[in-house]
Amino acid sequence: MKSTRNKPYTYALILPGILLYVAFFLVPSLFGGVLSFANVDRFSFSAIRFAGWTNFINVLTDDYLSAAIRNSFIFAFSTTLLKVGIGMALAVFLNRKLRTKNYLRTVAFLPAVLSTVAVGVFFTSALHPTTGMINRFLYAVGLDALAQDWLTNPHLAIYSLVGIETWKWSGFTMAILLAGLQSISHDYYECADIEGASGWQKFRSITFPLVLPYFNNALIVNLIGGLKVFDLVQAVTQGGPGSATEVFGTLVFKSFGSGRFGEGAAASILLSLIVIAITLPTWKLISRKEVEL
Amino acid sequence: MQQRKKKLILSALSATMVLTMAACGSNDKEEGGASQAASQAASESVSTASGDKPQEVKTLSLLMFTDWYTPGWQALEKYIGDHSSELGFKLDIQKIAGGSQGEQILKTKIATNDLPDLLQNYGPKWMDQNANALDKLVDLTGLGSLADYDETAMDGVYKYKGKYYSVPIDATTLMGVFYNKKVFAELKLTPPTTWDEFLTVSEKIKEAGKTPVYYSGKDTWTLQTIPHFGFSQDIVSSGKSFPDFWEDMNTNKKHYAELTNFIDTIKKSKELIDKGYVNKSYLSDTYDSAQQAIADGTAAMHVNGSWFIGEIIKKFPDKVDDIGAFPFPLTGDNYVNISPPGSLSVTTSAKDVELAKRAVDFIASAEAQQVYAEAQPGIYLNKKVDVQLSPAIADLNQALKDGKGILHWQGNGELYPYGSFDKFMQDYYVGGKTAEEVAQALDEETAKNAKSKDDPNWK
Repeated sequence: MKSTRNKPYTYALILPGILLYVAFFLVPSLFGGVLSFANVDRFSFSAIRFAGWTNFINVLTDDYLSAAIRNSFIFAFSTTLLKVGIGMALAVFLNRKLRTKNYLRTVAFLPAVLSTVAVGVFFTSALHPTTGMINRFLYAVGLDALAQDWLTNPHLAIYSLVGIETWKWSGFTMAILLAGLQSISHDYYECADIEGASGWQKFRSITFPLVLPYFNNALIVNLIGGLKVFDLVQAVTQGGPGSATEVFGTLVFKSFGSGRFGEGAAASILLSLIVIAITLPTWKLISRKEVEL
Repeated sequence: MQQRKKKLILSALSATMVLTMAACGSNDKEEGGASQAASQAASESVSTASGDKPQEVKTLSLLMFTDWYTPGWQALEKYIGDHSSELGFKLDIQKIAGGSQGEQILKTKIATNDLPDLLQNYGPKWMDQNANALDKLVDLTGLGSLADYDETAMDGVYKYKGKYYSVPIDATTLMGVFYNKKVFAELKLTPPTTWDEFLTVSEKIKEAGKTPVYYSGKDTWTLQTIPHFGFSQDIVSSGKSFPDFWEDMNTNKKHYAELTNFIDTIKKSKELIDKGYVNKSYLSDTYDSAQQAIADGTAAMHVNGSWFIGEIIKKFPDKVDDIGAFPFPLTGDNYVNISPPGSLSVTTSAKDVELAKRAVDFIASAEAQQVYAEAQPGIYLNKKVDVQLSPAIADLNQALKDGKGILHWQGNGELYPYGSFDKFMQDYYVGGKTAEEVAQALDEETAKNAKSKDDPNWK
């Protein structure tokens, strides 16, 4: 029997993958790049004209840009922290031997499978200041002081969105981390028990270092998702009231929606650059701390 | 065993939940998909016999926004269906959700030539300037039914660049203040004619424990209504005709930020909020709840277009007579804003252009318009239509008869889109912009759009 060890696969095998990559990633990206330097008169792509840096200048001088930057960062960082924090707590809790373990895992994960638009519609009505479920509950139990204009107070609206996003995706983060927790051998814990380690010591010295690759993964995925958020904002506040919940995604949508394709393309390129500029160093920084299992 | 049972129950539960949510979420899409499938199936023509000579009944597809499928259209569609064998056609009406996203879908359909036989639209001017699609509309000049219309009322709206590209469909929209007459009678109030009177009336209604003016800011487009009347005052006080006024605006000679009455009414709309005359949760309340509030009298007034009465007729038919209307009170010399009815066009993609033209000719005729108008009383451009107007529409129509009607600025004057006026208003209410900045934002957006078209006036 001949050994197959030294026979590498032929390069032809990567062709299908490369083709898909070129057709659905490289070409559209390049076209977007070209578009961002062009003036396109609505849908007549025949009348395309070179625009120089105008589109980028328009995006960078947009009235709502500073609001969008602020909100995108608030949203991305606070949802990432909350989702990873709550996800971790849930994962550790549901990794124990509990009778209701499977039931609780399902409950925690369920929001992730709901359509964002449906979630948005539900929360829009639940957070209504006078007829919404949440304020009504607060009034009913006498906590009037806590009742808020959740979605219409410009200082609060973005945090209400953070809350909804956290509710929806914490369970998903839990699922990622749970997979990591289950890959940790019980031997370590037995050893630790023999040495008399406390619960917190076990978490800090065994669980966390060993689950770190999964943790990092969840962190980066959530960060990227947070910076690119669009669907939830569009479904709940459309960036309002005013510019209180404007994010990069809604800014891009606004440019495209007004028929200014060049500007929309420029805005999405800027968005990609920002996402890369933030996630790459973060990834580098945290992946250094990972340990091999 | 126990474990397995639990798992089964759990997965069944979650599956049901997912299915329910999915069904709720994609209702619209499915509807669209179904109607598309139906249209494909129906586009194969069927023959029926009518009397002695068998006539072929063809199905024409018609595309419109969901909110344009009014009670009037529903009645007319049924009428056409009932008489299809004489008419030789019937309609397959496809609806897409309106708003700016709907416009995007429409523009995409236009760009990819994916058009129905008939298209309800914002008019030839919009089709030309916003979608570059004038060449996709069929010239309708010479249709017999056009004799029932005043040419002066048609020029510039349906007749564009010398040709009829569309016929009017639906009623003329009149804008004003709709009020609950019972509330006014109880408190012995009369419709105000000046801003000061308006404030006095509001104060008395507030003292009586009712909401004086209902805002429906969750549907942001309704936040624009009050400034509309200031805008009209600016047109009137400029001493220029409507087209001349816009000639200046569209050539960068005059700007939104210079329209003093317009900016003043933006401020007045906030004054009402600051004085507590507006429902407290106005940014979360909807157009739908506005109808409810005015109909049951928990709120006294709501500023909007006459489609408001269309909704009342549909949802609260017994309350129609309780609701009246008056022009928005500013100086005493108050105007009602008029928006012409929608446009119905034949597209060049029509499979049988002659039949499509015949269908439009019928829809524009006095016979069909009468059917439409009876289901939805209002002011129709077809001179032969005769309907009993609801009290509110009759009130506003009286203002027109007194010469106090003015063409609504929005969509009828501007050459370039001015951005999200509704959103700027919302921003003003929550403190993100001043009234002056709202107007400036309209100018900036106009300039951006003009420059992206290389307009020499904005160099």
